[in-house]
Amino acid sequence: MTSCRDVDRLATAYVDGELDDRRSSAVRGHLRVCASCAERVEDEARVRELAAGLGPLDPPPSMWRAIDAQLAEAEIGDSHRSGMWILAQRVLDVARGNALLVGLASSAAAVFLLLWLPGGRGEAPQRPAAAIARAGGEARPGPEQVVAAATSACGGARTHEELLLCQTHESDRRYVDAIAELTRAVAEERASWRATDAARFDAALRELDHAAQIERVRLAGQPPSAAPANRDSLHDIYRAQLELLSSAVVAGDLSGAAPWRGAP
Amino acid sequence: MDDDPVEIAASKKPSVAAVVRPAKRAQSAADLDDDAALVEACRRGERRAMEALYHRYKRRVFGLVTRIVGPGDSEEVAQEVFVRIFRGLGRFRGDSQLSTWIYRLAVNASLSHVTRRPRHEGGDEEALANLPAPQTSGADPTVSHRLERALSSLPAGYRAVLVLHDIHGMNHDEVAEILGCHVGTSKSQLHKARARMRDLLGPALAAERAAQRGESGQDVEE
Repeated sequence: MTSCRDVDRLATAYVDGELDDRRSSAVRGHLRVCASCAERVEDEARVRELAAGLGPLDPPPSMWRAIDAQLAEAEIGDSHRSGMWILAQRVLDVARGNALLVGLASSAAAVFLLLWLPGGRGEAPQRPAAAIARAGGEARPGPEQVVAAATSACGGARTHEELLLCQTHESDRRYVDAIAELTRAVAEERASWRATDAARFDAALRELDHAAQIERVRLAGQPPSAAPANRDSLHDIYRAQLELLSSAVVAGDLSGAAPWRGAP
Repeated sequence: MDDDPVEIAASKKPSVAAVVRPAKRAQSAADLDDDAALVEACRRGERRAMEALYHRYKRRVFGLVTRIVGPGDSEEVAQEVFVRIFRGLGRFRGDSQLSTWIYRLAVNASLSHVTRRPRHEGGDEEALANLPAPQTSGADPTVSHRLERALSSLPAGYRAVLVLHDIHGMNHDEVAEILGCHVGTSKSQLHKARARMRDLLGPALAAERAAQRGESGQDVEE
């Protein structure tokens, strides 16, 4: 026997014509003898009918111009971006199309990043096998690669002191440039993140920023020749920032792909 | 005559038994071809194609966004949706219909906007009052405006399902695909959304019903 409770449960499906003939007839039979259920279903049908009549809305006539202006701004911004960023976006696009490619895309982007960082854009990759191994999370890139790249950029140094100073500046600059580049890429992606993910990401990045700042203050008073290895700890922090940022750029809005994200 | 007396009797309760389904907008093969051609042209950066795509979807996107985020922020969010559409067309692979993909972007942008920016009580009242009255035959504009107001006070999740299903005429499979949820979730959310709407509109609906009964009573006396 169909009860008021049954009708309450089935009312939406009944009004939407989703019940089979027998159940629909049973509901209708109950409505004939129960005035309160009949009113309840009548109201549901009226809400549905009114909602169906609302329809789409006309946007303001100026909206297309505003969209066109925003597109122009974004495309001009793209023209100032590096090839690395565009490459990372392409990897991201592929990853979005197939969840199985997420891991592959993460590794590929990490390889791009690691090869680009020590060698500079357009230079031949250095030790790709080691870079690929690192991309798997086994170990972070060694500071010797950054130093080697910085050394090649400091060929004009006349003294050992000058060489160390130049190498320090070069290696710092490469890290900072890469972090800035990826930070811009992350800013594009974050609009699609869940608020909790974004908050967790921000907290992790803030922590690393703070640690880097402390290290920079600690190293500020020391000449590079005193102990070049002293900068290793700062560069370790830079590399951790890069790992965090690159995981965000590559993983984008794919929940759970990045280590700082929560469970989906 | 093979008319079923039960069905004839039931038809005397037109608002219950003769429920009209919202007109579904069937997507023809020609539409799909047009969408595919438009997407290709937009990817090539053809400005006229981009404008054509905008005009094809602007009313649907703007209506959807307005009903989820409220009229105050709708223009800003709808602009963001179209920028995402044009910037993301390279990722659209045709696995779903273009309209589904666009709706998904619009719903995601709207819901994340609602999450980011809590609504201010009553802040949209004036904007809601300025929404155009729906063009439905016989619909009381006062009741329709009350409906818009009631809709704006629903939780965002309920609102999204009700807007997609009841206003945009989608079925639960389509709603679930757009929202990334199960079909059962879409059904239960709609059930709760309608129940909330009935509560919010209760007095207006009762008055409307009483007025109808009064009229039919007069008809009988006459």
